[in-house]
Amino acid sequence: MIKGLYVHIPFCRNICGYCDFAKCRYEKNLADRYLLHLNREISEITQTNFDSIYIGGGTPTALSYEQLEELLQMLSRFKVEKEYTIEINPETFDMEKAELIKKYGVNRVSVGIQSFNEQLLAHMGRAHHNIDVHNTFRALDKVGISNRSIDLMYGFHNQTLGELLDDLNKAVRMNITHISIYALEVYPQTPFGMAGYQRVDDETDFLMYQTIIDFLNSHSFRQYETSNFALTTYQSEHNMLYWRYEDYLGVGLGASGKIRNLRYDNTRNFMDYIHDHYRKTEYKLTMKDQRFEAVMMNLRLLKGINIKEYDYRFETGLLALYHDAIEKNVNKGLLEIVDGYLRVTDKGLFVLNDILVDFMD
Amino acid sequence: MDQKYIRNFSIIAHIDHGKSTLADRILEQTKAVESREMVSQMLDDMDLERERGITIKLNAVSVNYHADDGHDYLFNLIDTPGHVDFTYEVSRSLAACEGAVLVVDATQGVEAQTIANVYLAIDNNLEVVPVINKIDLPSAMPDVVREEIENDIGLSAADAPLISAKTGENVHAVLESIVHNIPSPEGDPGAPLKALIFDSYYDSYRGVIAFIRIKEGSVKVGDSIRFMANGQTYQVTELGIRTPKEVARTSLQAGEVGWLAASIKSVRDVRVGDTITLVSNPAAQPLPGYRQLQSMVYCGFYPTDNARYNDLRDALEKLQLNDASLQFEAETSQALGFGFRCGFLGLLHMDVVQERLEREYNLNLIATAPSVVYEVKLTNGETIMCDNPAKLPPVQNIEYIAEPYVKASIMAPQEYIGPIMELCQNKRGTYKDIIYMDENRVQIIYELPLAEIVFDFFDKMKSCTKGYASLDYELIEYRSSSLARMDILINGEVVDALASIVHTSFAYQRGSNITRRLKDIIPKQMFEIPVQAAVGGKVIARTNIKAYRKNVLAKCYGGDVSRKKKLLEKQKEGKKRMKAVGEVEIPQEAFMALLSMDEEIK
Repeated sequence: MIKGLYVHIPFCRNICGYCDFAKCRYEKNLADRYLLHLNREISEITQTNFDSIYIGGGTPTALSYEQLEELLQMLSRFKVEKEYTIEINPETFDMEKAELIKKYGVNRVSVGIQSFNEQLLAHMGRAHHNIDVHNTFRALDKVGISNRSIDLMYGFHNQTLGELLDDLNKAVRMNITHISIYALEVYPQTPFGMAGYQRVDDETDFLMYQTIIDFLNSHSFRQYETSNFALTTYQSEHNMLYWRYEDYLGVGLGASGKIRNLRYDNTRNFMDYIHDHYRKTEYKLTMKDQRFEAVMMNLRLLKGINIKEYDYRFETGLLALYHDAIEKNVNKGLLEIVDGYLRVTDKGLFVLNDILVDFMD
Repeated sequence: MDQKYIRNFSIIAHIDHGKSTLADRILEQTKAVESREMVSQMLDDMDLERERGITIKLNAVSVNYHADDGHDYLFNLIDTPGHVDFTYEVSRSLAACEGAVLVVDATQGVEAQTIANVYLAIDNNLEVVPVINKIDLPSAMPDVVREEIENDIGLSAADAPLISAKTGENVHAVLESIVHNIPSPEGDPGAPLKALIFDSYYDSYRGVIAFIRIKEGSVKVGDSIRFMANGQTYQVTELGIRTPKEVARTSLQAGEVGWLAASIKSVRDVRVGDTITLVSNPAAQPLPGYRQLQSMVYCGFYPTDNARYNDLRDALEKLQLNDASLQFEAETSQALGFGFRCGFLGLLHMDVVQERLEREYNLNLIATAPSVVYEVKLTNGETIMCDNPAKLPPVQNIEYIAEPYVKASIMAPQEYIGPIMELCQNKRGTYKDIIYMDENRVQIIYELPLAEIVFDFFDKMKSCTKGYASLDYELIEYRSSSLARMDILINGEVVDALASIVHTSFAYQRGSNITRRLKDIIPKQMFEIPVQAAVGGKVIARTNIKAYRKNVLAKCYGGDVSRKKKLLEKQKEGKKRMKAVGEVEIPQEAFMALLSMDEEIK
């Protein structure tokens, strides 16, 4: 059985400067057509149960109330065993939508806050204000969805450590269970990329990441992945599938799936999608691809790779297969082997790319 | 062929003014090449030339033109390279001609390089025929440009054809102008042979092919010939012209341009500018103007992957087959391993060779900063030549160091005299003269250490004159200077490949600039790295690269796997272009940072 299903809603009320996901500006008619074709793609799924469903975007809540209901209705054919998450942008959420998602069994939300600094929000091109966040949380309180994650970002031009600490301080005082906090990455095909956006300098970037880790861990948000922190047992079930390199399905514009040694990527072209040419590429992963990708994803988890399980899944010996890369990085103090797991050290966390490059032949 | 119906000419132009396009049109309109088989810009053979818009290797093409007067004319179009590194080769190509077509862009007007080339042509007694190109563009100002040609260059441009080489408009007028304005060649076909070599290339089946202009006498297949500069003799196996396809001939005579093959093994035997004569009936004197080319600039090339050392040697040997001015010999560096010390005519030549090695031979190279050749007088009375700062003997063994000086002549509009002189003064120049060429243009003469020109002089000059200045220089002599070797230490280790020879009065400033530049260029590591500059064992500047290394992808979810894996592959490629020195990985740019030592650090 495939444990997770990802559903992509590419619409946004406005486009943020840094975003490189498949997205477009919300238009009612477009969204109607999209949902029609999304339904077709979903109908091809024969499996009836999933451990987790994750509705992401774009902005799923950019859909109108009716459209959101149509979406939840079409997904209601699946039984969700554990975690049912939807991404929320505060400016597109209200009491009605809160009641709606509750009605359809959504039990976890991920709120795109990014920062509590209104100036910084404007700089990013976000459309919401702190009051929208406040209202969003009131609505969630009211309907009783208490498993909440928030997204934050850092690394903007001229952003200071002090400003970041303000954001962190406000975050840990909210009624939430989980924080994802991402360093800004500037990609060429985004408004930031095209404008030649300069991130914060390397030194500050380093200190920010260190501050985040220290601050959140000491406020009970335990880091369990490169950019993710959770209270006690509230790690994201769905995202854990990716990092454990397990199988998942993805539907919608630009979504991807992996079924054993098959990976598919859906088109990012809207016109193709609404003509039902939604599959762009499908390819067989070689054993070598899978062995590397599993390392690449799984080392992001602080717990690391369960060596026995890895050896069994990929019919190999991890420590022998990557002997040189592992030895080199263990000697540098970047990797360690603890209780049958291969994992990054506190130092290694900062340079995972360097470590992974050593694993590529 | 009757000399009366031969026209030998070059096309001269500023970069991008349309030289190659006009050459294409001439070939097309004389039916030398059918337009459908025309690869744009026929004369530029190498991709690199096409990309950079510069011509490096010369070529000659013979075409037949049926003129309006009813006669058939043989046009020999001789192409010229366009950069200061190759001035000598340009002058030899021009020496093979009686005239030159000067192309001026109707939207840009007369530019510095145009003038430099025109004067070179006039020095060679060529008749210059101006044409005004790109008149199809809306911003064309043919009248203004015509006036510029008359005022700035002093050529009559009243009858200059207004053309569009791109569309072919009025190219016919250029062809007619060549017939009427460029003189036919002279030279006695019965005199002893004097053939000027203006280009050569290596053909793996026939040996070196020399491009020649017969100035006097004639040559036929089977003749025994002598190269007058080096005395080598050969027997002519083939003669011919290029149309641009090769057409064999049994003989060539005075006034004609063509190619010659004689089973010659090495391009080194066929020096541009040398004179070919017959063994049986030799000329008394060679043609004037021959110069032995010497390397002005040296640098080390090292494969980033040491295992590819042999590939690099093979590639250099292959390039050398066609490039007699490229020199190399094996050297080793503690920091970089095994590589080659290579000698070049100038910086552009060096760039071109490096790019060809990387592109055509798929090599990843580290190039060390270029150096000139120093003359080092030792305390034991011996004198050695040193082209590698790392190999400079210990200070206590040195009596003095002398460096090459050049006479530099910079041509520019008058308003740039100030910035140019300031630049020359800052580069240890000695003022010699200013020649007012006309009411607009001046020629500024300075004596400068070649080492200062090798650094960023050319770029600086271009930027302080908005590109209007042109530079030519020739070696004059060696002069002793207060010079010392500056070592760079990274993480406490001397990196021999980063050593440079500096004038002691600049040492502190350059030392602190280079260490700060290196701080920005060398990626942060997980430990602090001191970067120091030292002269004579004494540290004169120091910075630290902090241990703040962060290199991790912020997001990696189910939909990101393929894209993020590609990103890692890119990082892996980038790493290949770095050289590990001790525990520190140093990127290619670091070795070139020496070149911008004078940059202001913001």
